[in-house]
Amino acid sequence: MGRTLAVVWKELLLLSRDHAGLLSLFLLPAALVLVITLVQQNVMELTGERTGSMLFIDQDQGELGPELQALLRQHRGIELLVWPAERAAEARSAVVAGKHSGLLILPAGTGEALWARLERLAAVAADQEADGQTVNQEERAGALPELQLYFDPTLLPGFRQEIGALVRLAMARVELDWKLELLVGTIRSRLEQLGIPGEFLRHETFGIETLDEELLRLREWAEGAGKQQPGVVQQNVPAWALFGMFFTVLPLGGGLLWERRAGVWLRFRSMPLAIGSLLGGKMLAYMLVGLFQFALIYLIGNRLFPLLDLPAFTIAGVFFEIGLIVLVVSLAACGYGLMLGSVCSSYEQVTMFGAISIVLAAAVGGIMVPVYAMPEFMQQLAVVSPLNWGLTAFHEVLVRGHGLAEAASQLVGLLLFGLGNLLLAWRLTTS
Amino acid sequence: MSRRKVPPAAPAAALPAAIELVELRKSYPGQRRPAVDQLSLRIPRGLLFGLLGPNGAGKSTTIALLCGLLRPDGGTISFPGLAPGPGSLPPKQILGFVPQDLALYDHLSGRENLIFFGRLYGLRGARLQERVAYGLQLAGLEVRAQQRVATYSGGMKRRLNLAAGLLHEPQILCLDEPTVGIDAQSRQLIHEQLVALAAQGMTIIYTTHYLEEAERLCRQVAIIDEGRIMACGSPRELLREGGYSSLGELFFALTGKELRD
Repeated sequence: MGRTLAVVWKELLLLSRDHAGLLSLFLLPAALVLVITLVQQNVMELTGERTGSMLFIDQDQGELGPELQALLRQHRGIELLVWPAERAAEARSAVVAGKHSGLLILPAGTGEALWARLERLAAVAADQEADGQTVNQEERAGALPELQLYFDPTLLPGFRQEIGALVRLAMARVELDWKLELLVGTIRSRLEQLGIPGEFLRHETFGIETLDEELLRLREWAEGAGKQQPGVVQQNVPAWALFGMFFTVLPLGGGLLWERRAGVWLRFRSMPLAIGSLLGGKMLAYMLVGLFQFALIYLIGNRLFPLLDLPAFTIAGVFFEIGLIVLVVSLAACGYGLMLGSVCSSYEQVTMFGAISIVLAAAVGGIMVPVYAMPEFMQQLAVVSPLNWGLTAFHEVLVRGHGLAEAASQLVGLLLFGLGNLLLAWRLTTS
Repeated sequence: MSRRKVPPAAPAAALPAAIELVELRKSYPGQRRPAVDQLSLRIPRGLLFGLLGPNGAGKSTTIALLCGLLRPDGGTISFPGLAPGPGSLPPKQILGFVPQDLALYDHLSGRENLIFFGRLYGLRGARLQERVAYGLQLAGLEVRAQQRVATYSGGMKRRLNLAAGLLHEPQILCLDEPTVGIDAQSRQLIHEQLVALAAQGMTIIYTTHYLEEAERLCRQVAIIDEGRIMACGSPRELLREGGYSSLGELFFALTGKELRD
């Protein structure tokens, strides 16, 4: 054990003096988690919970505008900004420039036109009933009044559809209100023709006041609800911590290769010690580095993110589980690094093959872009990446609210990957 | 080119053997000839023994076999009076090895290098500090002990390389070209230290291309070529028996003047 600890001491001392290595191990993942989270926060806002801001210009100045405004404001995801009617051109420029997601214009006379159309439709229907003839209702009702909806040209299709659906829903609700209003008025008028006072029929009779009441509710469930929901922070903090931990293969593999080539390994082999204690010492040192890397990324997620209006990353309640996952991921990365240092014959090979393989595994494994956002084929391919195993294990515990048992297959995969590489490294360095 | 064969001289009979190699064989995959071919050698205890030969003669392979860095294909290596290591390998605790390459960490100081290698040899506490101090003194690096090896000259690194192989007080020290590429002063210091260590009873086997150095320092030398011993004995005896004026003359007579790249 003393010899293994000596190797740990030497590795940490060497790493502390390798400024480029420290930058790549700590600053790179720290910068990546910060930048990518901020970038993806915006993307996820556009595709998910927050839909951005929409301008509203009421040129009608009647009852319709306030009703629509009230209905649109009921959606918590959209920020409705009322814009002066005389600055319509300026509003359109702002939307084209991407400052706002959309612009809804209620043209002058829309309310009147809507009410007139309703009345004409009702009259056509009444005539039809009286004559017993089928007529073209649309022709006799006249032109449809139109609302104008402008979008930011760069807006993602999903978000465009969502805003369109919100506006259509509000319009449908207004139409329903107005149709019921007309219905009540028509029935009162008929009653009065029959000598019954119209006031006898009150709105409550039709249950119009109950329009705001929900009759059916859609309840959405996510497994593990009550725990944290998947989000940009839960995606990026473990993802870039994993990426950083796997980047330890460069100094670890490079260091082993240098020792093999510089004669140090010959000196080791002439000594009364087992090669396993050398490899074990290196592995232990870089597993400690992995823990520090995760701690740094965790602190960024937990302390810095809230200052940037991002949700805080927390591992409260799953501290042990996360610690174990970090250790297993780190072990897998160290095994891979030692294997590279044993197989490669030049430092360039270690850095080239190591860096390229990690970046590829990160891309395929859902580190850079979440797996669910990938095409079907790439989603299937993701399972070959050890970084995906690590990320899935984190998500099992952090997002889905599962325990280690549900992450066992990923953890066992990472363990086998790490130990397999370690075994290969041991065989190559002792032969 | 014809080569005059000189029969191996009888070893220093008065001294007990430290190492005995009997019909040692070692081949590398893809190589036409064995690197070490039926090599038998008796190295007496407590003297400086030079292993000479041109490039590719088998010197480094022989040293590697002696130190347990390679397993022989055939033959035996024994250390009379010492228990063998695991799997009949040499007992590594009594062996010191100084590789030809500078086996040191540039980004550690001289002291840190010695502490690290000392710990790997199993040294701890006061004993470790004592041996590190000895190593720094031997290398003449007490003043620059805290400085990183990267700032050292070639000679300083060679001296530290030697000191690292002596930390655990080995009974047998194997050196692979320990004085290559260094200044005269450093070479002289290393020579003096090797002679002093041998005088204290340490058996020192070292390979070198510097023939005049071997002639001056070594009580016994073996000239090796194509994996076989061409001559073995004290330089004086070998010169007298073959009628040569220098070890260089004997060396070229045995190994030829063809370039060995």
